[in-house]
Amino acid sequence: MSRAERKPLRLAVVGHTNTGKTSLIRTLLHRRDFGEINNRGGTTRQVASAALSVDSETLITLYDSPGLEDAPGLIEWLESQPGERHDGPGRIHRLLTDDRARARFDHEARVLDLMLNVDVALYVIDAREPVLEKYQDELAVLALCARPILAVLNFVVSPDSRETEWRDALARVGLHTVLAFDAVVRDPATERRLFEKLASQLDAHAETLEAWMSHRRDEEDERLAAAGLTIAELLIDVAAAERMAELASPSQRERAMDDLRQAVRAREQVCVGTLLDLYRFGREDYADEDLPLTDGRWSEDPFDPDTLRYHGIRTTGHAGIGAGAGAVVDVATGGLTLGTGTLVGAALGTGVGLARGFGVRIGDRLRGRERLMVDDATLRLLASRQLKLLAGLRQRGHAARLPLPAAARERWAVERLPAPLRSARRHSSWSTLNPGSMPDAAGAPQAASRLARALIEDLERESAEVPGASAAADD
Amino acid sequence: MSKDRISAADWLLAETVRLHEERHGRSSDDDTANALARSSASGLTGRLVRRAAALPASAAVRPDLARLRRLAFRLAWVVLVLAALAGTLAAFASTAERGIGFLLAASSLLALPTLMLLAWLILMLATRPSRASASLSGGLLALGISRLGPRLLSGPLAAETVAASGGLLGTATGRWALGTLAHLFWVVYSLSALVVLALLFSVAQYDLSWGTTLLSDEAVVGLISALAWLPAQLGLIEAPEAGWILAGREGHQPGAARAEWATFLLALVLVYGLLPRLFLVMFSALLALVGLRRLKLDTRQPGYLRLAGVLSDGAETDVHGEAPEAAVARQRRAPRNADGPPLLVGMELEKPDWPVALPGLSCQVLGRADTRAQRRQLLAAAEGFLRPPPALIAHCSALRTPDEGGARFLTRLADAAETLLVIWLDDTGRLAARDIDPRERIADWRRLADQAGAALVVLDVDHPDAGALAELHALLEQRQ
Repeated sequence: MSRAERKPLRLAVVGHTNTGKTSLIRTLLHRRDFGEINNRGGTTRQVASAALSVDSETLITLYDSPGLEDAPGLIEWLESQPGERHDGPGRIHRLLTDDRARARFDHEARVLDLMLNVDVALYVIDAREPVLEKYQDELAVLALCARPILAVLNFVVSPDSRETEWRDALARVGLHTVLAFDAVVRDPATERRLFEKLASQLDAHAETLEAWMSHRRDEEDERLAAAGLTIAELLIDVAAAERMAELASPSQRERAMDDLRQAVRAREQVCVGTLLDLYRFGREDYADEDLPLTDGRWSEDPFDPDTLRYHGIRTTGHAGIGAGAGAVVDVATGGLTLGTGTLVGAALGTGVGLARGFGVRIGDRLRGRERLMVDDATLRLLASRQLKLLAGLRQRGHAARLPLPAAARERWAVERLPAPLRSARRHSSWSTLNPGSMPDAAGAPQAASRLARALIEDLERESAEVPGASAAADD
Repeated sequence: MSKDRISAADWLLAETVRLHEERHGRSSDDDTANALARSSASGLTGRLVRRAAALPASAAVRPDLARLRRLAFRLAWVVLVLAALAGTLAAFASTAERGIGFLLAASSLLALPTLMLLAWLILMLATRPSRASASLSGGLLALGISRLGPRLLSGPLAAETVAASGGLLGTATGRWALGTLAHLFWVVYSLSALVVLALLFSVAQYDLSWGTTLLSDEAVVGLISALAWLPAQLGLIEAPEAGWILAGREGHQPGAARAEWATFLLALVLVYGLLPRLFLVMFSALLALVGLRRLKLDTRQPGYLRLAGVLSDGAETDVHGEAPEAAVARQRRAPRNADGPPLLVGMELEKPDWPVALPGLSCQVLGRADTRAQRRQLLAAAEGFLRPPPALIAHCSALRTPDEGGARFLTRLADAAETLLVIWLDDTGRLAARDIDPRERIADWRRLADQAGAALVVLDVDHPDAGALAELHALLEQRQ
């Protein structure tokens, strides 16, 4: 079938009130702003639709529906009506044309109206609920609409989950197409299985569904590459950032360090913003989300010594004498102290250390100036925080309301920094944090793309070692 | 796809904005620009361009881009003037004396352009576009823009504008544009040399002859014949004969056929210096123009990809049907002639050993209301009382989301029993395990209670709260 002939697949998401229908749609759409979600029933009162499209061609239209609330009442009404019992759609039609019944079963009428106009329906079940008769009534009413139904078990990762009970009950009413799909976890494998199951039920739309799945895969790859590049650019910018200060003036030095610190913090926020955008999470959600970000910022201060310790990162490569503020740091120029030796300063305590091994900078010291750079510990922390955020975002469903799980990442704390980062240390022109610098300076884009590859490899290795708890069992 | 093609100015604007946003973050007030882009363009590329143009920051970018363009053209002029000077200089240098060594003059005029041509070819074949401008003059232009640009520009995105321009020159298209300039340089060089030589040959008398120290005369005759072959084919000169060439040997016949030799030299410069470069200018310009028409944004860049969500068609939600009406709350009155203990029904509970005893409360257990059959029985039983019971207690679980079906049944049941309705909400202690906020859930049940005209008592049997128990007792006693 050619593209022009292909009609979009219409898919309705139905179920009892408050089972997570809107959440499921959000996760399928990768959109945070669809509908309204909370733990209260009846949040969705009207049918709402959104499209899954590729190159502005709509492949699938998803319909969100109000929750079914009175299926038992509806069944009684239907049973009280005279006429043909075996023409399901006919009976539903009679209900929909009866004004009094429509007014009484307002929610249900909207859902049934929708059911008659779609190709397939997903019946969402809160798997923590016992199999009550009212749910079975719902299935019976929906079955009258004569549309293929795929049962989706939500909240299966909950300890209260009664997945087996539900599967058993569904099998008894002849519903064998069942999928465990936790809407708050975004697991690409489960998402793919959902579309595969739909494709197996809907021959006419198999091609559309296949096109959608392959589009999703490509999108995922592109997004990950872009996210890797985003983090790499941040790290290059920070690694190459520097500020000059007069050796003789501690106050100037303090100011320069403060300036550098603020620049790095602001730059990290930009990276966080880009990552959130790439994975389509909005800034306004942080507060209710209780992410470790407040108003778009990581609540942990990267320069806080406690944060550094929490992440298991050695605070500095230099020999620190004393702890806390005013620690004594060896101003290291590759071990050359040139007589002045140590300087009293907050460098160690605040995290902006002086990176080691810059013999070329001796000239600056002879002129009575020193070059302040962000130390390795801070770089590692930044890297591990962004990678952690990225790993969290990749698995996060667009209906998730709970904070991202904090997973320890020791790896970045141990390994040697990758070569592009080390060479960024010697190229101050690579950093846009430096005054008068230009973005994409010669060599910087190449270094960033090499670093991005290293970061993504690291991320993939990590996720291979710790398989997500999201891999829900299938029937 | 044709819709993805954009003009160079749009490309530069979008890239400038991307470079800025990747380092400094999206501006917080880009909603208007996003909405405008969604409504007025189709395809991600088109929308990115529209969005960039609609951002407040880009107002200053357009004049900067125009300035940069002017700078580029001025630099190109400077390069071309330098070329003319170099050509003139070369012509003068090779005609410094009245007696001109023909081979010496030809090689001094042609060796440099030919070497540069070879170098250009090698660089074009061996390097990637982003790495090298592949020519001296192209490099000069790129350097000029990157050095002078920031000084000339005034906008807040000056650095990004310059970087974006550098990026454009780094694309294959930009490389052909720079190549055009490079070849134009040598065209001007050869042309000015040719004009100066022609002028000098017209107004002064030169003796052209050739000589060799190492080579045999035959070898030189062969060389000159070979060089003359192409100009002769083009009809610029007559194919020289060996005798004529030998007659030009230094010291043979000074001044013989000097006009023919001068024409020969001019023809060499024209054919080997000017024509190939002229052809390459046209070729490069053609490729550059075609490339400019086919410019595309690399939408895989993080700065663009992050916007794919907000700029996509799918970002719209359609709502169908009219909003439903809000439910009305109702009131119930205590029966005047009440008699007997209050009734107890259990609805959709997960308690195997129901009923649960409550201290100090004796009820008549009516039964459970989980299925339609049970509910029918309960309704029949409720209607069977001669004098109404003082109250009807509905034992419900907070784990259930309150729904209309439940509300309707309880209303009907209380109506049938003609008595007060008290909803006893249990299991609130188990909500936390399901990440449900108890306050929200209780509020939902309260709404249901209002709809059914019932009083709500929140009392968890596992953690009985004395206050709630007292409240329940008070409710029942007061009505009795």
